[in-house]
Amino acid sequence: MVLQFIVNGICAGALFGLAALGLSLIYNTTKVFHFAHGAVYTSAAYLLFFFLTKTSMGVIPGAIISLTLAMLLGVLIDQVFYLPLAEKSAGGTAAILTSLGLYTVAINIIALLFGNETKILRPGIEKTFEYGSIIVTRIQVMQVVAFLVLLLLTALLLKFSRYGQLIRAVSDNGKLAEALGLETKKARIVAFAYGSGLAAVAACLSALDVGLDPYIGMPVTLIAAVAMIFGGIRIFAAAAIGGVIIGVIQNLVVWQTSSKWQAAVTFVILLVVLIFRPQGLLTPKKRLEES
Amino acid sequence: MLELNNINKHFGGIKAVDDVSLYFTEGKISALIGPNGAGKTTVFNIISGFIRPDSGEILFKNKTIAGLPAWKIAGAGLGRMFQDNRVFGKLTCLENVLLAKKGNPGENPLGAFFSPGKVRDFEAGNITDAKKWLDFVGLSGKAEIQADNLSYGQQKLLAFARLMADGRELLLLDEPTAGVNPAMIGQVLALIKKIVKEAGKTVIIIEHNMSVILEIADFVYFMDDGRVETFGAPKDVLADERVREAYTGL
Amino acid sequence: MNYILHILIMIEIYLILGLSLNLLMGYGGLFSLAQAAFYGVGAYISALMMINLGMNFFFTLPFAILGCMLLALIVALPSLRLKGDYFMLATLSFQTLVFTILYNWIPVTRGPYGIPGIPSPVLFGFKIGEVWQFFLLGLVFTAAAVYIFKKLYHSPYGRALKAIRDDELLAVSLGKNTTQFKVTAFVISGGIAALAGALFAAYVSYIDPTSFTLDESIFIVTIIVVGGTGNLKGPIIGAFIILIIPEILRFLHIPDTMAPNIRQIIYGALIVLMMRLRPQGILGDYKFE
Repeated sequence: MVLQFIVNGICAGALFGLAALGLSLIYNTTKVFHFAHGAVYTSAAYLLFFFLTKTSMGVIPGAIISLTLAMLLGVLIDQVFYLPLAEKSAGGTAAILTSLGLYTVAINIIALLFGNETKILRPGIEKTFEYGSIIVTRIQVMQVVAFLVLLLLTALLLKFSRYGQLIRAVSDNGKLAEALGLETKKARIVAFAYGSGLAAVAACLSALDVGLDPYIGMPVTLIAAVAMIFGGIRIFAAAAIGGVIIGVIQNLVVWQTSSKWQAAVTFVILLVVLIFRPQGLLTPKKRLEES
Repeated sequence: MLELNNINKHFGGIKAVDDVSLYFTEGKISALIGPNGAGKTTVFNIISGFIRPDSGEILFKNKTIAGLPAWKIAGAGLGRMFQDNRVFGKLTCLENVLLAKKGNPGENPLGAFFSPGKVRDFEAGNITDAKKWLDFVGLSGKAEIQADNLSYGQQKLLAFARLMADGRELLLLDEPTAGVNPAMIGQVLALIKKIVKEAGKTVIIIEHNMSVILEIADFVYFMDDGRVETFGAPKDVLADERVREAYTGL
Repeated sequence: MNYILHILIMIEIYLILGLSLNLLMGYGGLFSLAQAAFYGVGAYISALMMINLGMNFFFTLPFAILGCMLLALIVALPSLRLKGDYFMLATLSFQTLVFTILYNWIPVTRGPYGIPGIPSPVLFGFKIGEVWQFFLLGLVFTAAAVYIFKKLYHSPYGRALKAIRDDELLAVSLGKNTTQFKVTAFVISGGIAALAGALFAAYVSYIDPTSFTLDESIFIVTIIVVGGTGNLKGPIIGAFIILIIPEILRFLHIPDTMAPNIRQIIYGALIVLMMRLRPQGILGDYKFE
């Protein structure tokens, strides 16, 4: 019985992990806390909704176009809003406030255009697979597959591709990278594009699974933030794994109590991590010295 | 006045401070010199309490201060001037100096409310003293000017006024003449000498400018690679082989 | 007339909230997304004591304020060790946790059903039930808040907070126990927010958790971002502007279904514009870093 909850947790956590991986790439490369990640997430879901319901497009082409547009949106947000702030060296707080403002504007535009109610993309019963006493839907399987494939792809790209190495250099020490003449501006674009793409994949899968409403973005972003910190901000893969773990923990809490305390769990985890192990589970303890 | 015994500190794999013992006499100007990366600022940070030493003891006026929080160490009578000369840019010169005085009852929110008379009296005295110190360092008439609007050299003078404003007996000055235009260096050095002679302070400076060392230091420690290599009177230390070697090319 | 008074009462409430957050964000430089939590807890403590214990509104105030101060202390102590983004996330977590508890702890707070029938305040046998009477009560509260914060902002305490905000290391080297300063700012800020909460609860006579969400915290932040931080007049003008905007929309005959979304779009856009063009807010002194 508990196994079903764990499996559900892994499938849900797969999406959290994707969103968290995207957020982690963005945060590490630019040090901006990108609340508007939720806006990109929600936009991707609604773009898919638009293409599937208002045009005769199939799921795959609809998803691909939604993905591309979401990636463009992410890059646009950075270039138009965050980059000018970074150049004026107005740092963290101004960017976070801007991000919150953008998020609010974006989801309310979506609400105006599409309405506040929940929409379902695929009415009808989803195909399921059974393994012993465990039942998973086709979408759930796709979520896990997408997660594993993208995680592997990201790891490989980070390690071997030129842009991956650029991102790792900028993440590690942005000022040094800039001084060395590395293309830090390009790193931002790649990080936002790829990170937004990951969020878009998660959004589309989630929309196909449980439907969408204009307010899905913030909870996902917050869980992504918790996953990122929980796993260890500096290690990209940690955010992804953190997402899965949070998904599992959330579902175990549902199994033990009821779904209403689900959200609280995420934030209790965050608080415990922030207070006792702010460097995250997977990062070795470093001594923080003031200078 | 200040004694460091067998201080050790490493960061990761690097030994920044290696078994350092230093002794600073009251009322004298001592200098810490050495090439970049020798560990001098780290020693200052350890004394100030911003960094905790791995081992060793620090005695200030015969009381242990190692391990105390930095604000307490400052409160015990230790003043610090930073390498990048920090001032509260958005506050006026007067406010900068007013902040330095300890024990202001108005800094406690309850005090601000329930003892307005006490606060007013304290602030009146505070303002008089602050203006006195601004005059002492040569910044008369600049009280209401925002610190950001001063020249770099004037900001250094402001930092001195701030250090004076609260009976701090020991002053750690990290490169006090760095970035000051040559015409003003004389003013800064005269001020340091004045501080020691007239106000009875003990001063420790980190300096790269050898002529400054020769002009004002009573005693010099030379550090390299985290260790104290030699020490003594300025003339003798500066004549030392190792010191000359370290500074050729500077 | 009642319409105008109603708006003024809401301005009074949000002015108190803005001034309290200003101490924390504008003077202390601490970005907090938890202000709605204190607003809400203050409202709930006052309302529950009036309904369950039959207490007089004015006697519930010390409990609401002290309760929120205690909560603020509990939030502040672990959170203030964290830097920048992490501190903000910690406040966000507390905000969400407080909301979740208000929403789910049904035996005590009645959760989503809310608390209806909150009685009108009674002062020496005189019932404060009319709108103009609430306006006057609110005026007293607001005047008190302005007085308190004016004193604090202009005191050596306020000066020290600004110094710590601008260069904490330097402040430490001058002997300031910076953590203690930040904790007291948090505690005072949370306590005064409770005052606004109690006033709100008594005025609207029905509260539920949906008035005290993360969105509400963001709304309070919007007030000081737009109006200005780091001085007294910023939050005041901010409260006026932010609360007048929905009324302007009403005059433009925006349909009721669209109005809430359009209002949010305006608020969000204002934050983005302010950060870009005038980070210190309209009348403020402190630019967000």
